[in-house]
Amino acid sequence: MRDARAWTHAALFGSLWGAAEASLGTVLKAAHIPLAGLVMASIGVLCLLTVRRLQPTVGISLVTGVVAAFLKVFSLGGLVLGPAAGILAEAALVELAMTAFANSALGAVVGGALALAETPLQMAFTAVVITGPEAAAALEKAARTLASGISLPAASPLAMLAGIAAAAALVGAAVGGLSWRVAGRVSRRLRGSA
Amino acid sequence: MKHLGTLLAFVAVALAFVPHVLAPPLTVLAALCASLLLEPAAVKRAWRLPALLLVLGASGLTALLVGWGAAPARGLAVGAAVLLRFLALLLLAALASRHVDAEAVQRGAKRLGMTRLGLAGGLALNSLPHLGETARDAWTALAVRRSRARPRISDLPRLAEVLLAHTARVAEEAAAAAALRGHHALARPGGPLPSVPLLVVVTGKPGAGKTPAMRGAAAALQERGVLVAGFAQIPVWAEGGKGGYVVRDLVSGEERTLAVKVGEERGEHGTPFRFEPAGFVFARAALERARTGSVLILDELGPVELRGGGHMPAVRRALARPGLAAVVVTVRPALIPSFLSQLAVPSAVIVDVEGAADPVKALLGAVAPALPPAV
Repeated sequence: MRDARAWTHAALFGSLWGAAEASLGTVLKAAHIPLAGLVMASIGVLCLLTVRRLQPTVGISLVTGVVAAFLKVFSLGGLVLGPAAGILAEAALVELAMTAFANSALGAVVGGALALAETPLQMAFTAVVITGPEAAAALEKAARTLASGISLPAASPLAMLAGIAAAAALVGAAVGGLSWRVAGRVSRRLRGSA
Repeated sequence: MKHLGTLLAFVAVALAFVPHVLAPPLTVLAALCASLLLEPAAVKRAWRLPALLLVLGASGLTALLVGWGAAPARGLAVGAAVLLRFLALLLLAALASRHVDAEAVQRGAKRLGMTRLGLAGGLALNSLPHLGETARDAWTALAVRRSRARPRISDLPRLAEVLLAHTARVAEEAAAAAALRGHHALARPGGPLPSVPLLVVVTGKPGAGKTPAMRGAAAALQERGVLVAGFAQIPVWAEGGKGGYVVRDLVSGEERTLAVKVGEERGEHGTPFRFEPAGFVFARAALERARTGSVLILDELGPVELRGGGHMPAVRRALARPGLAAVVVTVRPALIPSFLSQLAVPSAVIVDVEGAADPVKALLGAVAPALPPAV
């Protein structure tokens, strides 16, 4: 990144995302609000796509993610590796999609889908890593109970997880598209005041 | 003692992730020792009732889940381990939040050879309280505007838009402030110019009359026999606003298409315009007409140039030409600091067309010191 503004944008939008993660994210997760991970991931996608639209520089999404992950360390919810790693993974996926699709709306949709699909996968992975095989057993039991509850007794836990990730990806694609639109409105608002 | 405390804090963090039955109690022990050595009051600050209730809730849920999935005894053991880890990490977070500040982050990052990332982290830490205040203000303003006690879910997109736009403005201001103070650690400007002529920056809001002032001054200078070279970017108006730009050679009066509006989605350089390479070649040729004693006119340089694109390579080449009398550049007010930083010029004369009774006269007055006395 050559321009100082790219760095200051990454810092400020990373700060905004980190602040949201440290405050709203902690509250949502502590209160066990359903789909808290998806809500926070959507906020992350909004910040990442806005900064990318305002400063279309390769690497800016990744730096924004690094800053947000760094700030997340200062919150209760971030005191385990999972959330910080999740933020970094989300930023890397959006960076990848936006670079591959040349900062276009399609990149935003793909980036949003990847970022939100990563959330349930990362949650399962973190639970297993932190609490060990017991969490895996608990997750498997939960998946089987859920599967039988919706008349899918034969579904394996992995298939359930893949299904959840696919549903999250669909939501993510919509979030990516909407975020790109909001980013456009922000861009126009800024241009109008310049 | 301070170093030992810091070392113990790092040991505690490392222990928190060790999968051994003794690791959680040792983590708490190491964190407590670190706290006693660094700041005993951190214990009271970290282990407040709301935080303890949160931790108890999280570890209790873990115990339930594991007990359900494996065995109740195993669930209790895992729940206790999670509780101890959280207690230790709460304490370490309380220590870190007091003892790690923006400068410490910057120093650490510099040691690791990541100065820019450190500066970005420091800036992010410093801006956190301001962004929090802004979010609260935006929330209150939205409630007042909607005549409701608190905004609804449907107001959230607007709230996000306001907050994101404000964040971007703060980022712009931070970059501009760094440039004004001569801090180039986050930027990589092309280096100072070899010879610096008189630099006159013409500024004003969009539509304030910068381009007419430039064209008027160029014509007046040519009438007085001063060599003038350069270009002006003239907007092409279409239904619904600007449809594009043409670039006009100030000497020959010839024009070429520079940009065509194609919409936000297909625009280049973060603009709604598609740029024509031939237009840039034409503008470069106009700049190359400059000779010794010439006044070089550039109307205008914008965000694209500040990112090193657009006319910028040609501009740098033209400004490096020795013997120019003066350079007159049109730049929007918000971009002036970044522009001066990019060119690394020590000083400039600013002419604000909005504040000038006769912008052409003001512009000619600004250029006059660089011209021969007879002119």
